[in-house]
Amino acid sequence: MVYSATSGADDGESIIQMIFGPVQRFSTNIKTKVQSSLDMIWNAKQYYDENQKLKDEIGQLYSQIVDYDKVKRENEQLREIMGLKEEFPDYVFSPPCAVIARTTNDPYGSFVIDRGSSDGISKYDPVITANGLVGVVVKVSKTYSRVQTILSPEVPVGAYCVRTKDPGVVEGSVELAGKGRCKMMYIDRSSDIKKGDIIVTSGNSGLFPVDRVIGTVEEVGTEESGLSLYAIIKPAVDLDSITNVFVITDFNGKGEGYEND
Amino acid sequence: MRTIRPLKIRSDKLRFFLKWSTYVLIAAVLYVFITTSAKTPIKPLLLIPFAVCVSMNESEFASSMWGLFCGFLLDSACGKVFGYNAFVIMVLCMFSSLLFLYLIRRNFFGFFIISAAAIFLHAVLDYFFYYAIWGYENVGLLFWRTYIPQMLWTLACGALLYFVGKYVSIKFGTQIKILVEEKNDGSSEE
Repeated sequence: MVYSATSGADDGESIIQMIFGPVQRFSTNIKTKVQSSLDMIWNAKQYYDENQKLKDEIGQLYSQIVDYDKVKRENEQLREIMGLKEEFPDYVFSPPCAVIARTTNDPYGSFVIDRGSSDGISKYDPVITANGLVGVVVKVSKTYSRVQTILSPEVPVGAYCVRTKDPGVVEGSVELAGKGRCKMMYIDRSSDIKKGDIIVTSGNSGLFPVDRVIGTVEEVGTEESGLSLYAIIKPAVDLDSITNVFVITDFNGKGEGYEND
Repeated sequence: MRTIRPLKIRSDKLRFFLKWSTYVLIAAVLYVFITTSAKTPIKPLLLIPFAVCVSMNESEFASSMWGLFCGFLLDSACGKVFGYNAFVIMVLCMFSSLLFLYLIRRNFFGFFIISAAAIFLHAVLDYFFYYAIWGYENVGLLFWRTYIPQMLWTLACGALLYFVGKYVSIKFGTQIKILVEEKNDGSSEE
């Protein structure tokens, strides 16, 4: 008492706190653990129900996210179609197509889409994205189609340079396919075609609609024969990473090319 | 080393059904794997070593039919004329089954050799019929750039399938029945 009166009660209390503090902390921890353990035991049913409810809610949220992504993707694809429709009103499109499989080890990057003849797709229909030409349908079944890309030598496309109006034929080759490029051949020797020029379809064959972008000129050279020029084309579409495409099932001039005369 | 024991299934029909169902399931998984979009430019054609692996433990007729099935899957995966791979792999499986039956021991080394030969023959035929005879420019590049990595990749990954095939074959295989002949003196002889 004398000590507390002379030195102040706070010191005594702090000593007690110092001694009993860890013990109190320990006992509080034990109490909390016991309390929570008992709580778990007594309210297990309630927690279980809550857990189930939350799991259901999470499941619903996940499915909503999936639906949202699907709707968002469809919306983007339909916007692209709308844009193309406004630009080219004569095009008739198939429903948006997703790339479902890649042809195994195909050097030209052909792939399979999830739409077939039941969606109005037929053999040799052109395949595009909003960015440009992708290739052509080479095989059709009821529910899927196989698309060969413009990197293949089996898909020659009549084309011309937008700036110089020089015509030519864009074709793939074994050598360039590995680099994701194709080649425009039979360009007039006097042509002024140069790097950066945009190449579009000419529509001469009746297989492809006119004025679809194929790509840009990356390099120009003279053919070995010296009779014409060639241009290495970088496709406008990244063919390695496309996931969605459109098939043009009909357009003005379809099947009216020189090859069909 | 853990020994694989056959499942205790009395019915031979059920055992047969389970074994072939498992083979089909594995082939389906391999098919999905090789056709799924991926950034890798070359994928292993795992159906070929798997077809060889199954033919190692089956009769020549069953092997041929299995080769036909795997070939059709490969035709679909590789976008080839439907039936081309089926025919090639059917023949390869039939021969590998006969080789394992009469000439080569059924072990990992034997599988590796036959598998390598089958992969090589398939690649050469494929290259010849689909590219070489059409006379594309610089077609030889394709062999080095696509077919050689494909063969090596298939062989390396396909080696693992030996263990899968062996496991299934033993698990669903016919249990060996040991005939015990009782001797007159009471002792038994295998």
